[in-house]
Amino acid sequence: MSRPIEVIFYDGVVSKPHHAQLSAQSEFEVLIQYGERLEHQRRYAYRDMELIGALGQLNPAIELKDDARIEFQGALPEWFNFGTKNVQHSIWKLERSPSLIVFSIIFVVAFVFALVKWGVPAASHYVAFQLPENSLNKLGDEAEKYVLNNWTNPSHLAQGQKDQISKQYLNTIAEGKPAKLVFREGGRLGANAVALPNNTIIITDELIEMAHSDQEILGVLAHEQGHLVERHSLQQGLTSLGLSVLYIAMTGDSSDLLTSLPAAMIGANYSRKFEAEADMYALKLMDRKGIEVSHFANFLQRLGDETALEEKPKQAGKTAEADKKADPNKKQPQNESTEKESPLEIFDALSSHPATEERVKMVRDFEKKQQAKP
Amino acid sequence: MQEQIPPPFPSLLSLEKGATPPEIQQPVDQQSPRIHRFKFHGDAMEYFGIWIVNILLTIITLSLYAPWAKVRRLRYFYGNTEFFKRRFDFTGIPTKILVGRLIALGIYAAFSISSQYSMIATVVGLVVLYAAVPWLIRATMRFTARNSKFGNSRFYFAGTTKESYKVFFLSILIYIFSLGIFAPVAIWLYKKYYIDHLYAGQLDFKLNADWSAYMAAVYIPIFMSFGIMLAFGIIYFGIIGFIAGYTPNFFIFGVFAMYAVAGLFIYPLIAARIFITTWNNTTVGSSQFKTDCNQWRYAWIVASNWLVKILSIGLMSAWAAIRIHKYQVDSMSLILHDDPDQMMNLAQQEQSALAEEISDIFDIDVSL
Repeated sequence: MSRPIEVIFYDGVVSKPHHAQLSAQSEFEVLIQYGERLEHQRRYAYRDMELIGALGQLNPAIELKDDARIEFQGALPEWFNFGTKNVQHSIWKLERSPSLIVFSIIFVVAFVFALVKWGVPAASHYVAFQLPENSLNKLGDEAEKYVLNNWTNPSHLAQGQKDQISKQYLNTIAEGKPAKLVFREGGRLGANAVALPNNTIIITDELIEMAHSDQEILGVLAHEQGHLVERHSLQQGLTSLGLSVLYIAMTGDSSDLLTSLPAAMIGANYSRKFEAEADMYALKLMDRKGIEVSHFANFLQRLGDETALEEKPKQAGKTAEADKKADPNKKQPQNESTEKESPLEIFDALSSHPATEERVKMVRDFEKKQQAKP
Repeated sequence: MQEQIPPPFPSLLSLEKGATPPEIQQPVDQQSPRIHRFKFHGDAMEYFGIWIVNILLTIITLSLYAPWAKVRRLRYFYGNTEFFKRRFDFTGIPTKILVGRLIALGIYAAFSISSQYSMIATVVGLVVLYAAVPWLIRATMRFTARNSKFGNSRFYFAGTTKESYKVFFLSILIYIFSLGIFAPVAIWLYKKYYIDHLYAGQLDFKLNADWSAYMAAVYIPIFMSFGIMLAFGIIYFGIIGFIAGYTPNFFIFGVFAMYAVAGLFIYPLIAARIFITTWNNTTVGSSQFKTDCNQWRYAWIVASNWLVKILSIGLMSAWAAIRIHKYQVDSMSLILHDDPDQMMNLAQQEQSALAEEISDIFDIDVSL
C-alpha cells in the first residue's frame, strides 16, 4: 500500500528513543514497528493522535494517547491521513516564504499605525460618549480636592469681579451645560485654568490678572468648556487604556520600564490633539457669540511671553510637570498652562500643549477665514 | 488525582518488556559522569518569520489565533533547545488554551464592566483576584510543566495549592516586616517552591542555594550602582558643573542620566545574577547544572535588547528574544550522573489551561 518511513519512536514508558518504521495500516490507522529487529508493533488510530506540525527547522511530531511519541525525520508522507495536516503545512510555508513575511511586516506595521492613529482614538471617542456623563465624577472630585489642597490657595479676588465673570460665563460660554467655576490663587499652578472631569473649571487669580479684558477670560473659559463638552479626560483615559492593551497584546510584556516611554509619547501627542480641539471649540463658540477671537490670540501670546520670562528659574518644576502629564496612566486635568518649549528635545516631545506660536497662528487663520466669509 | 510515584531506581525498569539495549546513544557510565552542554539552535531570521506571521494571523482572526501563536512561539524555543542529542518540546493543545482564554476573557470583561458601575464590585473583584493569585501561580506552573517535554519525558510539577498559599503569605509578611529590604527572600521562596517540586520524568529538581545567595544577587548590583551614581554625581556635579556652570538644564540632564544609568544597569545585572545563582545551584536527580554565563555580558544583552526594541518600534523583539535565550541556553551544562534513556513519566492528569490563561490575561508574570 505504501512504503514505510523511518521515524523515531518513544514508547511512552521510558524516555529511550527507538528507531522505528511507520506505515499506513488502513485509512484510519498507522502501524509502527520498533526494536532492534523491528520485533515490536503498535497500531494507532488517527483520532488518538495529536499532530504537532513542522516549525522552522523542526520536524513534525505526533503525541499519542498512551504518552508515546513519534518524531518524523522529514516532511509528513503523502498517505498520512491526519485532518489538519494541510492547514499546518501551509502555516509552516507561510512562515518561511520571504514575500509573505515582507507582506506581513507591511500589513502589521500599517495596521498598528492605523490603530494607534485612528482606531484607538475613534473607539475611545465613541465609548466616551456612550458612558454616562458622570463616569469620571469621582476621579474629578479627587483631582479637585488635590488641586485645592496642594497646588492652590483661596482666591483673593473681589466677590464682585468673580460674580461678574461667572455671570458672563453662564450667559455666553456655558450654553446650557454650566460647569462649576472655582476661583483660586494659583500657587504652584501660576497663571492657569484647569478643566476637571467632574464638570469643574478652576481658574487662577494670576490668569485673571494677566488678562486685559473680560473677553480674554471668556476665551480661556471657552477653551476649558471645550475640554468638558468633548469629554477629553474620559477619552484620554480610554485611549491610554486601549494603547496599553494593544501594547501588551503585541509584545506580550508590560513590565519593562523603558518600553513604556513610547506609549507615553503617543499619549502626549493625543493631548496636543485635544488642546487643538478645545481651541477650535473656543474659537467657534466665540465667533457665534460675537466675541472677537483675536482676544484669545492676544491672551495666548501674552501667556507665552510671560512664561518665557519666568521659565528660567522655574524650569525644573515645569519639566517634571510636563513629564507627569504625559504619563498616560495618571488622571490628567486638562491644563491651560504656562509651559513652553523645554530645554531638552525629549521633554519637548512630551509636553502636551502645542507651542504658543502654532496656537496663535491657528487663531489668526480662523479669524481670516471668518472675515473672508462676509 | 492519581499522582503515583514511580520506582526511583532505573534498575527496576529492566522488568519492562520493551526494554532493549540502547541503540541511539551510548548509556552514561554511572561511574564517570560527563559534562554535557545545552545548545540552542534557534535562528533570529527564522523566528522572525514565525513571529510576524503569528501577529498577522492573530490580527486577521481577531485574536482567535493567539493560542496557536503562543504554542508555536513556545515550541520554537523548546524545540530548538538541545541536550544529549535530544530536543525539548511544548505540547500544549491550542484549542484547549483557546477555551481557557475565552473563559478568562469573560471573567475579565465581567470584572471591568461591573467595576464601572459599582465600587463594591471593584473591591470584591480585586480581593478575589488577589486571593486567587497563589492558586493561579501553582496552576500555571503545573500546566506549563505538564506540557513541557525533554525527549519524551514530561516535566511534572508536584507543588500543592496549600504550599503555594503558604509561600505567598510568608513572602508578604517578610516583605512587610522587613520594609521590603528582604524582598529577595520572596524571590528565593518562589524559586524554591517551583524548582523543588519540579520533576523531569521521575528525576526531581532541587535548588540548593539558600536565601542569602539571592540577597547577594539583588543587593550587590544595587550597591554597585550606588557607587557608580555617587562617582558620577561627584564628577558631574562637582567637576563638570564647576566648569560649565549650574544651570537648571544641567541639573535635569544630570538627574535624568543618573536614572538612565541606574535603570539600565541595576535590573539587567540583577536578572543576570539571579540566573547564575539559580542554575549553578540546581540539581536534577543526581546531576548538577552549571552555567558559565558572564554577568556583564548577560546584563549587556538585556539592556541593549531594551534599547534595540524601542529604537526599532518593536520589530526587533524577535531578534532580542532569540539573542537572550541563546545566550542563556548555550551557557548551561549538566554534569550527568543519570541516564536520560531511563527517565519515566509520572502519571498525571491533563491540566486545564484555564488558570494559565487567567494569569495571562490579568498579566501575572509567573516566569521564574
